[in-house]
Amino acid sequence: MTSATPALVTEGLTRRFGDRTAVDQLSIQVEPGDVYGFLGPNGAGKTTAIRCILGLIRKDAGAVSIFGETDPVRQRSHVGAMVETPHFFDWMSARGNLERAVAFAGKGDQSDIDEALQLVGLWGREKEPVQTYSLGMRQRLGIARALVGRPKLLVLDEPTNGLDPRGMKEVRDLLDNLAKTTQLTIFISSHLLDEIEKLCDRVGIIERGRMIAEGKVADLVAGQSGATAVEVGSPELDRLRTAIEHIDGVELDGDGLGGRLRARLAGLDIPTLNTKLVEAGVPINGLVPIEHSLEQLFLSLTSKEIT
Amino acid sequence: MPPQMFAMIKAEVAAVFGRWSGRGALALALVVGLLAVGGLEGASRAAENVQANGSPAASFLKIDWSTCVAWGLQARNFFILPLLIVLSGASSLSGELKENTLREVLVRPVPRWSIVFAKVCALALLSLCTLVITATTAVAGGAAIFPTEGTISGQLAGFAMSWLSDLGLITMTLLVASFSRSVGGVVVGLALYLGIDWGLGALLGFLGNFGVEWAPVVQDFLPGTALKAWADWEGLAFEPKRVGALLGWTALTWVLATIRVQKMDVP
Repeated sequence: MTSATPALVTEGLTRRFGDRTAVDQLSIQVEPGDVYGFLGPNGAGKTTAIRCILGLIRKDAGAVSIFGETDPVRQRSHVGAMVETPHFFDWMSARGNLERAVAFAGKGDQSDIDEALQLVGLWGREKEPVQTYSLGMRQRLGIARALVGRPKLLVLDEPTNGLDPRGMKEVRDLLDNLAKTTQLTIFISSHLLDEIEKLCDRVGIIERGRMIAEGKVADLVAGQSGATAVEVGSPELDRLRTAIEHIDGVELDGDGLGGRLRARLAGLDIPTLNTKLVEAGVPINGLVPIEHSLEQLFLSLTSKEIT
Repeated sequence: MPPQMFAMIKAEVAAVFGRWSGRGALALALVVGLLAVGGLEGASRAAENVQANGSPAASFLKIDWSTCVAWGLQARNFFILPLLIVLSGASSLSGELKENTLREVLVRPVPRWSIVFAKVCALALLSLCTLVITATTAVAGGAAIFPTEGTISGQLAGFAMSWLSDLGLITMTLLVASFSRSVGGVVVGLALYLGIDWGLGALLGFLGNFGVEWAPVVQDFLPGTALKAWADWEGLAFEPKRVGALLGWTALTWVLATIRVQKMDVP
């Protein structure tokens, strides 16, 4: 195996439930060391895909390879996973639960458990039964459990699910720290696009089980449109709308915030648009460039698919 | 066999013995042993004051440690302790499926059959501990209070055979548990399973009384009859057909439970 072997590859991964195809010919490639964001609206098939990758559920077609391994048991020796809300033996201590994980992982020892507990900030609370833990602590313990088998690939499905803002921040900071301080490849599915944008190098967006966009975050965000988008405000919105419709190199793109109109500039720059609107006699009280974001891209791609 | 098999079994033992059903089974095993000793002591005192056909009832009751151990064996295999073993087995599979703790071990680098194997080993150890506790309490208590006349080898063999019966019960429980996500569902499912078995046994017995020759032969091989293989302990007269059937059903249900777990989707 060489260092160029991808961390995770799925080719044509498909899973059907009756007539419904939950995951449809899904192909993903995650390189070693990547922090890969796996995005999609509710019901898009993210969790089903992750369960297929981890071997929790059968796949109807396609192939999965993890660090070049095709045998499911060997694949899992490279993986630490947390699928949705983590569950524990509540009557057992956090350390007891991690010892159980180490036993089944076949790798790791007490020092790995200590290290994982320190990393997730649960050191000193590890002897308490898990039933006394808050949801945020459980989530962090779930990440610690995923880490104790010395994995090379960390698969996290909605790690901030159900958390309050403080808990979300705790988990976000933890993942940020992991991404920066370890050589782990992280595959993370989430709804928190802002966090994914900050955390991930590459993202894949799925809709109805199919991959609809994949690439580096910066490339996808920059390339979502060749045009600059602006929001234009005016006390006379009808005149503004008519004027924009008559200016070459600009097209209306719906309503913006606060009674503004959204427009895409193709061939025009913002000062020229401003000049042309003033020449057309339209009073302008705001002209705000819209910064491209992953959220915009996600919404535009997934809403296109839905419609 | 995965290299971490022993560690997996240890982890399962910690889980099985840590649950209330496991702890309850161990505590009840001690109570059952003490009840056998106390029960025989109470019965012997009561029998001295009761006349039957002009003689003290005590003359009809054999009061020695072998009776005490036999009472312990009978009480151990009365339904409550086997029920706790069933509950432990059900919690170990369908309980973990329901609470999503099984998912955690399924994402580890071990084949699914080895997870079932680890669970069977842990449950078999629980059963063995309950038998040892009851037998030791009955033997020690019996020896301390009653005359140590007579042999207890048959009774001890009965305890040993009870372990095989428990193993059969455990694999049957795991098979039923692989189809259910609730512990209560497993108990009801197993009760139905053994209820049908009992009904079938009664029907075959009825047919046997009417001269249907094959009926009693088949009856000996039913799972419910096989699970009672321990009951032939007196004089070490274990019925080979029953023991064979017990081993056969144990192997079959173990294999079927493993196949079922191997193929199941775990959300």
